[in-house]
Amino acid sequence: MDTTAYVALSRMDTLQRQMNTVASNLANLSTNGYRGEALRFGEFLESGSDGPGIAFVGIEGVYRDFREGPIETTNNPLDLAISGDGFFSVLTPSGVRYTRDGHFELSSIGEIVTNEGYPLLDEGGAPIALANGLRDFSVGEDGTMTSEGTVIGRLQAMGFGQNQALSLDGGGLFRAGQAPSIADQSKILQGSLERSNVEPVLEITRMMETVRAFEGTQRLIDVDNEMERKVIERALDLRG
Amino acid sequence: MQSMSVAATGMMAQQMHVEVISNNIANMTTTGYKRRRPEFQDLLYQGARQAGAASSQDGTIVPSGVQIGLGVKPAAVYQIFDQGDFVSTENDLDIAVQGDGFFVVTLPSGESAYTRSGNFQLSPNGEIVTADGYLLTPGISVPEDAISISINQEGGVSVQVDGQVQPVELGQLELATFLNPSGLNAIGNNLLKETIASGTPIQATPGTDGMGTLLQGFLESSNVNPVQEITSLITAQRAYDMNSKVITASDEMMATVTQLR
Repeated sequence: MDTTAYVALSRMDTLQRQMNTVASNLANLSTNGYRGEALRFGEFLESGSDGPGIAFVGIEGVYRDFREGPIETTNNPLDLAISGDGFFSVLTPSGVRYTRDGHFELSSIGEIVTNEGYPLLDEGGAPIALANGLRDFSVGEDGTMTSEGTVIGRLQAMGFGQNQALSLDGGGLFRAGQAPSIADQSKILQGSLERSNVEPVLEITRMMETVRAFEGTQRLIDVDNEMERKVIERALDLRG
Repeated sequence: MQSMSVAATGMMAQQMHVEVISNNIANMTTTGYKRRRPEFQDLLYQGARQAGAASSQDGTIVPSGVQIGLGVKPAAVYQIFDQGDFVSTENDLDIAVQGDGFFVVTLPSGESAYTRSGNFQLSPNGEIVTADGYLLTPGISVPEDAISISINQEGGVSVQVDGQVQPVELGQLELATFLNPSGLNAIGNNLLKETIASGTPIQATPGTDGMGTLLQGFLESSNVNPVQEITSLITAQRAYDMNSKVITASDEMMATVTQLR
């Protein structure tokens, strides 16, 4: 195979990866706080010795869409949604992680925890314990938590300068290599959940585009092969 | 192709979503039923290029990495304990709890179970029992000559005996609460059991210590909201559809590969 086929192959490889991100976005249509992802392609230039260089395509990065997802009212007192920028901080065995998934539960000792049992942290980085369960537990828009009339702490959304540099651990948890700062413009809504921000229409369109582009590239390889075959046939004819 | 297995995880998750919804709808008229909701989480990520990795000797770093998701998994199906509507039944032994708290029931095995379903009956021996004949705890025996039973807000049970002016006090009902009711284990028949996650039961008289109060002659219907369930059902079905389209599209791409000449 010559260069044309290799360039086409690099394109087909990236398209397969693109299909994978579409699949992953659509699979997470019902995942609370999920952030959609898209690939960013870049060219790898190989400068030719005679004339213009050849550009292969490769994946440069994953762009994660950090726009807010739709917020749905659930009336569950432990469903919290952040309206605006920022994340909830939770304490996992491997350190503090950040999430937009605002569904929490109470542990058997009354701590507010995620589905995995990781405690939610307040603005001071301490777990939040409700001595009397969920009775009269409320969270104000500014994150002030009251239980049976007494203020027990404050919850705040933690924001980052560069959201794109966050990496994902799965389970909706983001790992940060940078220090968080309080996202004071954000509001916390109790009794609501933020849904996935994947837009199905966009994903389906991207999916169709990917399939068509894949087929197109395949045809390119076919045409290239056809040309090569003709060249060989001509050469044989000339000899004969 | 990985996109196929990713879409398959999506289909399985949506299938579970529909199962939970159908269980809610099926229990729309079950007394004391609390609606369930599934919670999903993204699966692990495959990293091809790490964010923050050095891209040169001069200290420039990759601003965003390549991390591709591998699908979705169900994380939890939890119960939502908000109050259901009250339905008047005018039956003496129908009791609804207004607020927090579960009735305590003794199973034949001697273990305790907890329920919000307050449709009680009398056993042949005059004990207050559930529809399955399990004893309500603390046990109360109603004498044979009783003509009416009254249960007050605080759970005091008294009967009017034929030929007597003064009602006879029979005993006191108690309710139990948990720090984390979502952690209770549902064993069917409207019964829930204590787990490590729920914490230990805290028993008290209705109306004290934040316990709910009792309403005689009423039942608490399920808290399933049909409109909400149908909307979720439509969303789940569409999401299922879309994931199956991804499988078809991936298949098309594979077919393209095999057509390469």
